[in-house]
Amino acid sequence: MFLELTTGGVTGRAVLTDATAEPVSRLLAVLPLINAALVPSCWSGPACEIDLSGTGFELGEPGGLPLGCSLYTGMLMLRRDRKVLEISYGPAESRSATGVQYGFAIGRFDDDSRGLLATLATSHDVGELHGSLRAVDR
Amino acid sequence: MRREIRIRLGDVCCLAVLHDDAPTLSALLWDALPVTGELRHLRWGGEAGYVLSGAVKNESPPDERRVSMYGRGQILLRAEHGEIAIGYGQGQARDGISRGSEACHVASVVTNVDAFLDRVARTRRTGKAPVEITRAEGE
Repeated sequence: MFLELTTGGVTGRAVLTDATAEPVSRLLAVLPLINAALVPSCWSGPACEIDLSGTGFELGEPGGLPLGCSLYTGMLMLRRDRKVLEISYGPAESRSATGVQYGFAIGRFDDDSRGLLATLATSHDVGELHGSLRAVDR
Repeated sequence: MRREIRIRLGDVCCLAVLHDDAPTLSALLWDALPVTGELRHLRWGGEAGYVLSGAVKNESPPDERRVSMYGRGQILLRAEHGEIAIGYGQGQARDGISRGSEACHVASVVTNVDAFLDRVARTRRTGKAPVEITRAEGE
């Protein structure tokens, strides 16, 4: 199971980590498409944030997955409250106004997603982007 | 003599007053004017926008009004990077290379504060905007 993100006509595919693949895919199977704004992060560095509030995305705490804050290029980090998804397009660190914040690294975009990450990087110049997120089998 | 600068961001203007107790770095900014460029939102430092200018660069800036936290309405000069930042809320002197650092609180916005800072804040969602910083003399 993979997550596919499309913005600006460019699509990238993220491989889900084993611990989250099953609950995320089960959830997305009944929620096939999330349309959301990709807002540039102002604390975490080269990353965009998707506010999952109101999208129907309600994932329980991913069991067995350690908390982390490092966002290597192309990673998807679900914040601990599971209301915000951060996607890094460069080396970043999940942070807020009061310091480092921890979350669950639920997946990472594969090598064929460089075009998507380059599109996300344009958010530093153009501001928020709009995209869609969906689960795919392959 | 009180030195004021005019900052135009897109179609919104404000006046800011330079702080005389940062004599070297306020003079560096004053002498560099006019500064023009594009203001972008910070990615690491929170609620502030920034513009880069080689004209305000100083590799070894003196300790004048040094702060690590940014406040609303503050104009902050990170001379080591040639960066002028404008705070509209909670912020910090940070970047992806040096992480925590410091800046000189070189000036403060004194007119049209809310409208101007709202415009700075909007750059996070609407993207970069043209900025022009000039001396406000005889106004």
